Amino acid sequence: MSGLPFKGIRVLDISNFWAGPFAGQFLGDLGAEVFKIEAIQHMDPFRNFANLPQGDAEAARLFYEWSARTNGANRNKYGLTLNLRDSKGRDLFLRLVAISDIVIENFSTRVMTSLELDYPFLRAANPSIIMVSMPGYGSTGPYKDYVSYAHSLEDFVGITSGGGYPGGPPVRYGLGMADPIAGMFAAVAIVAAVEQRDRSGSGQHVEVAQAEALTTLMAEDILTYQIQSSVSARQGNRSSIMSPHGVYPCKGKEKWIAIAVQSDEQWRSLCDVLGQREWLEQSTFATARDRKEHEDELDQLIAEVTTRWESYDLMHSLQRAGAPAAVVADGSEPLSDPHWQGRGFFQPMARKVTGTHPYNNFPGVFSNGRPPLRLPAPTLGEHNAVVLRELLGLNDQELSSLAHEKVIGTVPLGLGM
Amino acid sequence: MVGQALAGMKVLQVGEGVGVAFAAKLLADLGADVVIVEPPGGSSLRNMGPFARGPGAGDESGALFTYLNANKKGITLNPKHKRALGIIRKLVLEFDVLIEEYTPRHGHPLGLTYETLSQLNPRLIHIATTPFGETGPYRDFEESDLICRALATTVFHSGLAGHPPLLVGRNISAYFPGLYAAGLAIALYYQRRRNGRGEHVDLSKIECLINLSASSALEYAYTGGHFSRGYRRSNQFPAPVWPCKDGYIGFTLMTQAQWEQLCVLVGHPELVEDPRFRDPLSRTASAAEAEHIIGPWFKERTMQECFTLGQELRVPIAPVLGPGELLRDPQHRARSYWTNLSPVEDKPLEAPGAPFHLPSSAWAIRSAAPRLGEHNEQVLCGQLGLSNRVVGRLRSQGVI
Repeated sequence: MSGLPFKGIRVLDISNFWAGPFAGQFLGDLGAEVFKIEAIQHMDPFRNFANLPQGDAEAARLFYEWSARTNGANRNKYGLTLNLRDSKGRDLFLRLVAISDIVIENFSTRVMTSLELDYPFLRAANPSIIMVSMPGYGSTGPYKDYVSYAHSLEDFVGITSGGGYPGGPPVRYGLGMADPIAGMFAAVAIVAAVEQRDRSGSGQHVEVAQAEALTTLMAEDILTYQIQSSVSARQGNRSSIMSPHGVYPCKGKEKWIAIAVQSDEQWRSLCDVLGQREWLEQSTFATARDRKEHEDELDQLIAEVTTRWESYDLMHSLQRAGAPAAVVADGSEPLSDPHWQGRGFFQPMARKVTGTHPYNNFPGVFSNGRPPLRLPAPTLGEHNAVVLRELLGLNDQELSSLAHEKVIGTVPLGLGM
Repeated sequence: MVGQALAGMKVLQVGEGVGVAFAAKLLADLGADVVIVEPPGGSSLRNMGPFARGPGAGDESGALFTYLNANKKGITLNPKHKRALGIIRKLVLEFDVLIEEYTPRHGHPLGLTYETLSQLNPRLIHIATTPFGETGPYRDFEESDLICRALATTVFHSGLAGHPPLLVGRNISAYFPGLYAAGLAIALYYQRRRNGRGEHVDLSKIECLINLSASSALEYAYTGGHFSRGYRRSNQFPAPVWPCKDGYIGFTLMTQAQWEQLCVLVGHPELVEDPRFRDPLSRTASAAEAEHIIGPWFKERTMQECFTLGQELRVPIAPVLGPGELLRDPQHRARSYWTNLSPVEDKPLEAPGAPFHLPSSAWAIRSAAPRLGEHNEQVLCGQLGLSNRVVGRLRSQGVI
């Protein structure tokens, strides 16, 4: 890899959970030196989502290093702990701000002010600092102090309302998509601010109100609602226009295929592959509109056939014939899938405490390959000594005294909630 | 646009997908000069409804096209015409970034690979978004939003226990990779100022999308298992979505304190001491009972009441809003978030506004989406230096 865009850029990522760290990770992946800054009094609460190997007592003791979510969102970062509520911790942080380019935080609105670390303070330490705040609903407005998580924001902007089986209640996305999406909106805003600063020399205080960023995804529903004075009812995996369009059972437990027929030609291919040419004779299935009208019957007929197929075989057979189809993959299947493997998407990486496992690579292959995974997600306070010594010139005695005063450390005092 | 973050960045948008239009919109709204390149018959996205004034109202395009392509110029080009290559060559030399979405099975919209593009302009930044990547066994697969989401593991884990996996979210396979495309375009433009070089990015939608699965592959690698679908899982109490008087509200309980506040909110503080509900695991085991006791409070109140009263006690409740309710919600209104897209002044058509605030880069809709070929002269003559006569000939020959 000849060079990465953000080599030489330093980021202080004091954000928690997923949205802020995801933005910091994008910068780290593209070469920035990112410091994930937690505190032993308040470690990143995302670490509580531990995924412990069975019967491993040591893992249970160090549960906070076993969160796949956290470790998947904080690679290419160094790990520090600094108690920002302690005046020494705060001073050290401001000394880092003076030699850094970006600060990312996603606390609720009052926190940085209460720490005396809001933009005026950061700018005093470094006039060209780019500060990025990611409040849930916004720093102003009637909801500015409201508590939100990824799921709440999906509920608020309308993602949840649109999901659900026909005739049923709203059903949430299972894994919280709002966080990485808001994180990427923040990433775009941050790189734009970096680009602007390159020409103007000035930093700025960027705000990404997550509810505003996420509402961008709802443009189609918002426009449709205004023009038609209504929005379509929840339709499960169906489409308003395409048919057949849905998820059908395959052979085995929890094996499914997704099929999305977009033309009459693809419909013919589907019938061919499924060995059901007689469906082509049925006038009730002749056009997409006909098929939509008789969707209940059609979906049932398709399911009766797909249930005899292995999901990957069916996907390949349909795709060879030009019909859009895909295995409804569970989280583990990409690890043994020749396409994901062939593209080198998973990278084995050694990490303290957890050992070696496959991590998601950066999505995006440059001319010379993917931007590399240089660092695994840090253990708590892993790089305190090296960073404070090398960047701020602290000696061993000073480090020891900070640890004694619990300004820095590597063992959590609380659960970070 | 002077004073905006991406002032001076020149971007060509190629391809008819929502994703590339969205990626380029992010750049245009930050001040980049974006030109969309359409076939002479127009992008198929123009024909996608709904239409603000009804289909067939003049040459009006669909509302989504109008929203996605504001702040951009538009030219037309027939890449298959033998005279097209000369125009493409000039375009590629003139622009900084070519942001493209294509399906390998159907070929590049302009008929050009990066190999050719980089020979024409080694400084070009080429972001090529494909559904599955430019290499690999699935390279030539057909796609759709459902297909991409399914293969990227972002359908399996949603839905209710005992029901099929469920697709939640519309066209996320366009928007999420679009964010990566925009971020990469800016990063590489920033890098080019230093090293003078262009770059190519093979951006696979499913490789972006798998990040929405909360590292479930890694979770599987750590534990050898992965969680099943549906609400009754070990860390999921209460069931996330509850009915109330005029709709639904959503819960997320992350801490013991929030559970205790919830008990206070619904007038059952005694539940805190009740052994059935002492910790997350026992609450999940006794979920049905808890919901039976707590549920009525919500059923008797509106979404807004549940939301306001709950948040007053710092319980992370949110209303499950549809688009109409979101348009009426006071938070977005208080921040003047919505932008008016209407072609007719007295009939507002509101659309999402700024997704983020850069104080030094003011966000605004400065121009409407281009009419088909609206800027052929401005770009081909004004920027590429062709004469009006030549452009007229190109038009009559069907090159543009």
